Amino acid sequence: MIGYLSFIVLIPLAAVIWKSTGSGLEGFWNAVTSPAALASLKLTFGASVVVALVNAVMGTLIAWVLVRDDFPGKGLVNSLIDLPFALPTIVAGLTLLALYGPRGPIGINIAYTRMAIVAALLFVTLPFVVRSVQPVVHELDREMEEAAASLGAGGFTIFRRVILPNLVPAILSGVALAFARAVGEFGAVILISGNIPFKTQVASVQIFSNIESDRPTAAAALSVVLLVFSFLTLLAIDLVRRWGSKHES
Amino acid sequence: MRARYGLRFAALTYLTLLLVLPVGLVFYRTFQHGLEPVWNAMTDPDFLHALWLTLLTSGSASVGRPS
Repeated sequence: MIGYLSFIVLIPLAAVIWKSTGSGLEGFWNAVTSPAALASLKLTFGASVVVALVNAVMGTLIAWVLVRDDFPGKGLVNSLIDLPFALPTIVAGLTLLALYGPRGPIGINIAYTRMAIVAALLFVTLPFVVRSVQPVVHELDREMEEAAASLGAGGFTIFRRVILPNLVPAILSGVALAFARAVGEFGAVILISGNIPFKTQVASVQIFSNIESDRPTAAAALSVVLLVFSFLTLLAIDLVRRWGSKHES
Repeated sequence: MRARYGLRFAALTYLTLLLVLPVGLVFYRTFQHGLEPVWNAMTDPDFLHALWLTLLTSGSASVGRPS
């Protein structure tokens, strides 16, 4: 088991870290702080933060509607949520390019803009918050809401003071997963972003282009930055889960 | 009651713009000129080989994975 894990995960990871310092720590630092690398990292994290925030609101809202509301076709909508996970990400990029690209039928063209990157990331991260919040909404004790209402609380107050505190751990853990996914996403972004350096080139695509133009150290250095960030996000998710389960008991 | 319809509208609009319309449009464009171009694309040797390679590698990975 350890041997298998080593060959598939650990040794390749170690190789990337080793390669990133191929021209010494200074080489690593220069690669990571080059203007192109900084621009792509800033874009990647900025877009991912926006995506995480939109997901926090819309994912919670959709989860709520799917549990508490009732309308014809709800079952179909519910199964649609998983579509982004079932679809290859390059297909996700293609579908968005078809509708919001230069040949789109509605005259909206956001291709090769940062807006397009956010749209593509929203597409592939949709299920995370919805699927983590949905079961929690299902388990909510409605008597608490009724008690609050009978004490004279309005709809918004009930949501903010009674419902939201119960949902926060699930929202945070969904948001963290969505964020981690957005930071590393490659397939959905590559078609629609145009990959213009300093403008619409995200970090993962820059790694790809560094390899293509024979700059392996720069590619490895950027990879290590993303790697460290994934670790930190995983750590954050773990902390949120622990905090959430402590909160419950 | 009004809040309920508002939330429903917001959720469905978001999903329509992000998922349903883009995916629907790709389906529409695929079959826009009938089945023949679709058939030609799907029987293209390059495509068939890519499909075979995809099935072979993903099949091998899921069988070889330790549970």
